[in-house]
Amino acid sequence: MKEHESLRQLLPLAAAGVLGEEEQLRVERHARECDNCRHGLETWRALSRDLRRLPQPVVPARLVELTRVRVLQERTVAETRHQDELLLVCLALFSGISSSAVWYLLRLLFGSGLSVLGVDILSWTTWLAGSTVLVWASAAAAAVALGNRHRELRRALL
Amino acid sequence: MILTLAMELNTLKTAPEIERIRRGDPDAWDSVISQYQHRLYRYLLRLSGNPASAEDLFQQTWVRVMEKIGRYDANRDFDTWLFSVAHNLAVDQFRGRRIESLDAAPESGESAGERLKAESPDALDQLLESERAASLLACIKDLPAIHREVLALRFEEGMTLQEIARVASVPLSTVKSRLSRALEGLRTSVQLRFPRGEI
Repeated sequence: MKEHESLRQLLPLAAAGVLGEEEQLRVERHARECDNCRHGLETWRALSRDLRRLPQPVVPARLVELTRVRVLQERTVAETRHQDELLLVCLALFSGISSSAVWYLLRLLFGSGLSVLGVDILSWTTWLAGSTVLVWASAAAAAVALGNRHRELRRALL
Repeated sequence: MILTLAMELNTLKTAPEIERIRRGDPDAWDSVISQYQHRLYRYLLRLSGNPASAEDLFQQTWVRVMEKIGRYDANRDFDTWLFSVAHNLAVDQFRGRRIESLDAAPESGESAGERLKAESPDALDQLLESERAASLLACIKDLPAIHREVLALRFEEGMTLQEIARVASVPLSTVKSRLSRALEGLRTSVQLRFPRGEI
């Protein structure tokens, strides 16, 4: 009786064809001996058959074309964004290198000290702090400009 | 068997196109989207129960595929990967919405009879079969989205439990119990709607 109950619960899965080979055989063997389960299995099989024959929806006209166009437009936007990001990284690297080079040249020209308003601008910490502020300010301005450009590009394409 | 063979053939046919997409060839998109249009749209329609949502998700899925194709592992089955992308987008879209509200719009206003050709010799059989299928579709719409999804993936896409588990990102045991509950729920819905056994 306990076996009957547990196998009866497997009937929908057996009809759906998702049980393992051994479990499937157990269910089918039991269904041959039990009228109730045989009838149940037939009902589930009929339902599974109907589920495989449902009417197929028609894909709306132009959906494929609209999707293709949208994908390519989004791809253009993504590529532009990627190039701009690369450009920003290159600019940041360039500014870091040029800042260090300028610092080195000024050190060669003026020796270890160049005082402006009482601050030694050629000390490593002052130079680093000043150039970092300048690089960040420039990067922020560039990011805003690129963001605007992306928005315009997206508006124009989409 | 036939469905499995057709799916394998489709996969073989699609593989070079997927490779072209990965390489960034824009001409490959048309062919890949066309090949998957029926299956993907059908899945999204069954999942959302709403043609407008299905169309929107269809477009979003391909945009996401374009964004993530670089991370797609060519050793994995593309079909399963594509459906999992669609699944995740649908989950995001439905999150915070009432699932029932997705079921509002009918799939088609056309009656079964209208779709029949009058000159067909077995028109009555077709009509009966068509009405039976339409009734079953109506019952499916009563089910929760996760149950509609598992039924569509198993019976229309012919996916195995393992593949469904990968698409829905859930354990195998969850898919098994979900499928069982979906079938039980569908049978209950059929019995409630058609107590005299019309379908």
